[in-house]
Amino acid sequence: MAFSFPGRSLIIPNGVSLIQLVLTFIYGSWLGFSPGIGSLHLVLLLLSLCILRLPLILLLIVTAACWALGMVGVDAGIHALGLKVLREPSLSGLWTQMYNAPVIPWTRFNNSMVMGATVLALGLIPLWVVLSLTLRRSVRA
Amino acid sequence: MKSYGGLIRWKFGLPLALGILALVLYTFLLLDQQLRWLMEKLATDANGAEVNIGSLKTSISGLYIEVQKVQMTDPEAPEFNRLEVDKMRFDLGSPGLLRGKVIIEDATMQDIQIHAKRARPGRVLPPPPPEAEGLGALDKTKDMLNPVKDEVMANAMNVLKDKGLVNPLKDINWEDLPSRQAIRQIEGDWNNRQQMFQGMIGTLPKPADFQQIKAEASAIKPPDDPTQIQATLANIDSLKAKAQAQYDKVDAAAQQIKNEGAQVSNRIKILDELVKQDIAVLSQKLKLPDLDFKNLAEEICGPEIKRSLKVFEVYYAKVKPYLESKEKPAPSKPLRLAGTDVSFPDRNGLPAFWLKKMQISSKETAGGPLGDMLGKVTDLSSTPALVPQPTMVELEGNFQQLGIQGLKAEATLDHRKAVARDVIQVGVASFPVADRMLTQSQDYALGFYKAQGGLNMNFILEGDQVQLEMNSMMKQLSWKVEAQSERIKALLDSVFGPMTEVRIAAKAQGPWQSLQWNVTSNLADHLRQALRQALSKEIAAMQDQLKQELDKRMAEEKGKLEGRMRDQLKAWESQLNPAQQEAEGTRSQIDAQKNQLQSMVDAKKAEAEQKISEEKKKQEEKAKDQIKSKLKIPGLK
Repeated sequence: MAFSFPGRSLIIPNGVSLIQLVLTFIYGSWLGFSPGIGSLHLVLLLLSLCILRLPLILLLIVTAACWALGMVGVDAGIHALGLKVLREPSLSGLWTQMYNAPVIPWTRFNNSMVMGATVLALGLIPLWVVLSLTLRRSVRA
Repeated sequence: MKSYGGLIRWKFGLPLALGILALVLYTFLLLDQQLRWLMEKLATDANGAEVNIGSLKTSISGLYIEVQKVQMTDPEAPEFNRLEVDKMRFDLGSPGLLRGKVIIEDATMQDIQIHAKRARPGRVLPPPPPEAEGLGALDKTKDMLNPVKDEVMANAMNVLKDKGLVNPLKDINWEDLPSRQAIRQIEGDWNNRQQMFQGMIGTLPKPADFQQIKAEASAIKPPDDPTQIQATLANIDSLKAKAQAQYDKVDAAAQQIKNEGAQVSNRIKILDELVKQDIAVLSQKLKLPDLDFKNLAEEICGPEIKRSLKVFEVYYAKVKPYLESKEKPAPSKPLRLAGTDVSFPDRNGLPAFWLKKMQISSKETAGGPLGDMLGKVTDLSSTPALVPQPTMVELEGNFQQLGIQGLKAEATLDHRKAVARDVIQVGVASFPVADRMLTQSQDYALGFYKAQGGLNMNFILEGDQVQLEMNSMMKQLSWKVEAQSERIKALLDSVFGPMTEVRIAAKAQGPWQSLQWNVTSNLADHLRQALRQALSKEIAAMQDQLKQELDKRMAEEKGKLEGRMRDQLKAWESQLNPAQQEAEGTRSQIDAQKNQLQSMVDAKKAEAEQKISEEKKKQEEKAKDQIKSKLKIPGLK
């Protein structure tokens, strides 16, 4: 099925690669699910956009969609997921080392929302891959 | 199809430089503003009223933050600052900063003023919801300090104001008194016993039963044939046992009724004891003041104690959660959930916040607004368990311009172990007090226009157990006494006019929710004495009147009740008497019959024994003669 609507090429540029689409979804969901940008990894993530070529309008749309999802209630799930990961006994050694290591604490990884958003954004990679493939096929068609 | 381009922008130099430039610009232009806004917000929340920061400067190269002109609004007087600090500097440690922790290696606080006039009144935050932990508990404590407010003095003033209660007996509901309740109980109990006794009497043998036994006994005649005597005796014994059993039943019932008669007296006696309780209840209902005035010191001095403790209460409630090493949800944000910060403290790790040392200094200038202060705060941290020393606060100084001398505060807040132990000592040698009301009610108001105060407070919190001691003194008093009634005013003037010094000592201990207070004051002692003198005659007269009325009513009630019970007992006794008499008669008759028969038996027995003896003698003589005739012994005739 052809995927066509006015301005489609602005949102999903022609010739965009699969990896670019997947990264756009990962970046967008990570930024959108996170409660703010006051953590180091998100600042680095934004700076990395100067180096990586990603479809920025699609990135903004994904970020806004995930932000809106957070506002309508997904936040509670993200918080619960983050807490579960942070309180996982087998990971406590890793978290303790990270918590007391230089620089890493600036990522605020020990915040339930930050951790939940990270896990969710990365955990959804299979979905992002499937979505990217579908989009790419539709654009080509 | 035209390619979008590779993943990497090989010409990323310009965008990256722009990105970094944006960050640098933010750091230099907006970071200080944003930090100042954040610190103002946090400090305002902690203070309960607006906090303003004149300027905030961060130095990334020097790793310090400098804050100037900090003004903390007094929530109770928003046109004044509770505290004003001209300059503060915080030197941050780089190892901590790299780890995302705020470790302040050294800090200074300079040039301090208190109670300085603000340019415009500060904003005061609404009070926190009552369920908030800590502060809510403290509020409860304040209520518990003064549980009988407006009762002790109000009642006394009521009597003084009205020159005694006019006709105090007219509105009394006598049915509610303890003695009336006891009478109702006795009556109910008596009704139950009545039923029990009537049931018991119904089952007792009647006179006819005894008459029948008597008739049966009369029918038994002494036998002519001696062999029948034993059988007749057995019959009589059996009748006697039957009569005895019936007699025992009647006798036991009679005894029970007799005992009941004795118990009636005891029950009635209890009523006499209850008259005292009646008087106490009536005194309470008529709001007659208790001349012990046990809670007078709490009532009069409670507001003053609360005022002294208030600053400490509010600040402690605010500071306590930050001293506890537990995970706290971040303050809620309006749009998105802020999440919870989970700590993973290492034994040798750093707390998220640690103020290692802060020097406080302020030098008074001639006629200037600054105070003369010296002090330090050490080891204030968000995770006390990771810090080797407890938090210590030391502060001393004077504020000459405000007339405050000898201010001294020392605190050791040790939250490093499971059970926290905080010791706080605050003292002010002398401070001026102006236009303060100690207590204010409908009938009277007591306060002073001016005084010179002194205060010492010791506070220990261990777990949830609090020990608190407060000694307050006010000298050079200029009293303010107002009262609607001339009599009350004269009384209060006579008590307080000569007093030039007031001492209040308060002690409290126990958990926050139920502190046990003990308050003493010479003010209360003087007032108590004066009130006793003024009221004792009137109260005694009223209580006499009550007692007479109660005695009169009690005598009537008692008479009726006792008469009813005694009449009933007499009726039961008269019911039992015929049966008892019959029983006695039956028993006597059977005994007489048995005795008669027994004497007959005895006579027959004696006669038989006589015969046997004579027969034996005859046989002996006969045997002797036979022997003599057979044996011819010479010389024996």
